[in-house]
Amino acid sequence: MKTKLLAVVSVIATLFATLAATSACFWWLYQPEEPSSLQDR
Amino acid sequence: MENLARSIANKISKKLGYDDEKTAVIAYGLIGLFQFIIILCACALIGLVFGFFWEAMIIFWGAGLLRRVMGGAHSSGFYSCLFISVVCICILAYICSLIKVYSDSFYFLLAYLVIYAAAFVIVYKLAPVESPNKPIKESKRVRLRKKALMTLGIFAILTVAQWIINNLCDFKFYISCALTVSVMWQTFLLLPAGKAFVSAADRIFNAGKHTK
Repeated sequence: MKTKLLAVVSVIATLFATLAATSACFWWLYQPEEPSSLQDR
Repeated sequence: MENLARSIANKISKKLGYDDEKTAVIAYGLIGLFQFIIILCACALIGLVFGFFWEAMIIFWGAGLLRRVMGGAHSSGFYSCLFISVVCICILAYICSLIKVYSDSFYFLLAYLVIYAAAFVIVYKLAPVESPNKPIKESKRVRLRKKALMTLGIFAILTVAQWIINNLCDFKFYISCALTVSVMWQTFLLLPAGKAFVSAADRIFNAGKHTK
């Protein structure tokens, strides 16, 4: 059950990271350093 | 909060056997998710208490969608971002809630048109403004500028359509004022003045943090 929950969190976080990668920046004012694997998107 | 995101990402990666790069992507996504949820909940709550919920939501979504394609000035840390975002959204939403009843006048339509015309010129010339933490390639720059102009166009159409509907029908609703304010705010953040404003707000927030 815990593993399933962690897998769901990981999918949501990856989806959000990919959405952020295809845009100019995050939702509002703070932009953390982008992981290198997302930089060519 | 960033440390919490990284520790959750590490926990997930350990349990599911992910490598370092995948862990960094999850941590990056979680930081974004936390930022989004906290700003949304704070603005919704303050808006509900003080009576400007819809204006706050329009500015939150409007400026957020524009920011995704335009970029703009950035704050130095997670908490200063939360502070500046929530304070600015709430102040702008409060002002909108006060003036929205006058927004059916012709002078407002004139002001909207001037603001959108200026925003189109500024976006065409400056967008997207990148952050050192997220460099933008030239091909992506062109794509984002196109999307920014399209989004701005849709906002302009919605603003004018709402003004016309309110003046023709008995049914009244007010989105144009908050939508135009979100365009104004986001366009301001593309300018050097916007960068100076965010830096100053950052300094005030950090000074307040250090005096505690």
